[in-house]
Amino acid sequence: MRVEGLVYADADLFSAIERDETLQQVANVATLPGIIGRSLAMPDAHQGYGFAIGGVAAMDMDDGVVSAGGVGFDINCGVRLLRTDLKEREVRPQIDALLHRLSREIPCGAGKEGSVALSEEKMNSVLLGGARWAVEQGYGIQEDLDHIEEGGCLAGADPAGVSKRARERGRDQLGTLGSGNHFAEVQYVSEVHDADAAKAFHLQEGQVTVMIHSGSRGLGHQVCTDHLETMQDAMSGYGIRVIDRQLACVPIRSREGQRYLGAMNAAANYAFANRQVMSHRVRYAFADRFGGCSVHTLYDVAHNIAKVEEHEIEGRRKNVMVHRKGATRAFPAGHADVPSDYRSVGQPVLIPGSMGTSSYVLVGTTRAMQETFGSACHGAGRSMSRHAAKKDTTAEEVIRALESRGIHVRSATKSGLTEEKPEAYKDVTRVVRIVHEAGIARMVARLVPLGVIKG
Amino acid sequence: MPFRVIEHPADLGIEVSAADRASLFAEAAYGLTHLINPSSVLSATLERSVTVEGADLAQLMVRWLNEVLFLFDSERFLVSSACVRFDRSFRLSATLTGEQADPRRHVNLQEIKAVTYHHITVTESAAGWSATVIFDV
Repeated sequence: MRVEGLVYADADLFSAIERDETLQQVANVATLPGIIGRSLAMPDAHQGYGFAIGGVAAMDMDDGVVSAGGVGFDINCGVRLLRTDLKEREVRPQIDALLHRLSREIPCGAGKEGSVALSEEKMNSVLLGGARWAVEQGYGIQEDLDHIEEGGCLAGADPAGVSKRARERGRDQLGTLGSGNHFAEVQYVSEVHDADAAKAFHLQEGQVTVMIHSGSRGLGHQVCTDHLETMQDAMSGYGIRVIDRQLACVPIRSREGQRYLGAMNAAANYAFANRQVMSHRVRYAFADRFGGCSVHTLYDVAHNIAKVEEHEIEGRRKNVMVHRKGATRAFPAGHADVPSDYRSVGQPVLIPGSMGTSSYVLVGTTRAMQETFGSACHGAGRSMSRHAAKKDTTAEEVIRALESRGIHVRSATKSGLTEEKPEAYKDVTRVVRIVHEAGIARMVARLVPLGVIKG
Repeated sequence: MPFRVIEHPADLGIEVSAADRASLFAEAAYGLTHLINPSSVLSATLERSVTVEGADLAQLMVRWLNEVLFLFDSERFLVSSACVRFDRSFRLSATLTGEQADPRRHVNLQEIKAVTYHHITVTESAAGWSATVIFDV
């Protein structure tokens, strides 16, 4: 190990983390060339492949590496939170009809019907423009872009690094949710923990919000697959050997490294455009059910990404390559990259819970800049394998259990429901509380689901 | 069954066994197809050919299954039968037959994001060939 590992957890979560290979994976990441500070794991960490999910690692720009596996297959998988001017009591009686409308607007599962079809020319525009492209096409408004990480468009995107195969996989998936743990959820604010930040984010108790969790779909998966292969072939030429093949990496400044970063930025832009299109379709669904209600983007944040960011390293400001694999950027008040209307309180940190439990809005802190390269957790984190989750439960039982708690659900597949049942995840409140108590993000509001659409 | 689904804390995997190397790769393709399409019987109405090469058997397995995954994600092609031939030690050609997924008949299709190198093994023993592959879902 070139640096120490640091895991954020309490005793219970740590014992869960110890049960799988998370700690070994944190240690493996600590062996990568050019790693700075510590190899980090957030309290929602669990075993991934190569990097642990919930892992954060920063690399020196001159001596360090970039790892496609350090970002993961779902490049810019992330979360969008929309806030409405509706109250829970207005939406709850119509939740079934609203979910029905939402599921028509937002295709989910392995199906593709209803996506935005992309010609080759349009695809390049999406890869370069991200959410900005979507807004230019009428899927949203400028105000949305002002409230997305990086304005919804990462600079340095290079469509030439996105293979024909990746384009083919992404050609008819824009505006679709996907499956696995992806979802769109109608929620309401059940508790406000930080009145000042909540006020800045225009959040108040009883208010209805919508959370979308999705990423770059097959296009991003293929970009990672392609460049993982390139990195495997190239790394020995740079004298790099890794403990786990999934950690394949190349120097940041190498031709292969720059090629990957250009493609990764392009795939990230596809993901921003994807969430933007779905967000706008949420507006159609709400307009259809609730007439003149307003739906605003509160924030949109990536949790699988590698980015060049300026951080203080041993007393000096310098650029580093921060890999976040299942971790959320959490910049503090005053940071130039926080939207101007939130800058007095900090960047919203969006933490989706498991299906049918709570989600949270947090806010970034100065301590995160000091300890975690401005990063916090990204969710609850799985505690049960998909296989185990399916074993003793039927989809009908999951639906009944959720409905008994007032939560309505629609799913593309039965397995989507059983694999993602609430018991398959750690307690998100415990995860968030650890982050809060460690001071790397501060709790702002708790969001409770009314209805969920599952991939 | 020559393949079985195995547990991973967040994802899914398959453990495959076969008498010979070519059959092992064919069974792995059936295993991946089973994860995508767990409940429907498939017919053989379409045919596709692929050639794949790797630096070793593990890389060949990942690249081979990536082909199967790509055929599904780009064409909705589900494999019912794979005829695999090894041209060289780490290079194979295959004829795949199957059908295009039909949303009316093929329900509960599961999206698989990618084939990973995590804990991948492809080994030969006295009992035959075996492999383990984990997928990102």
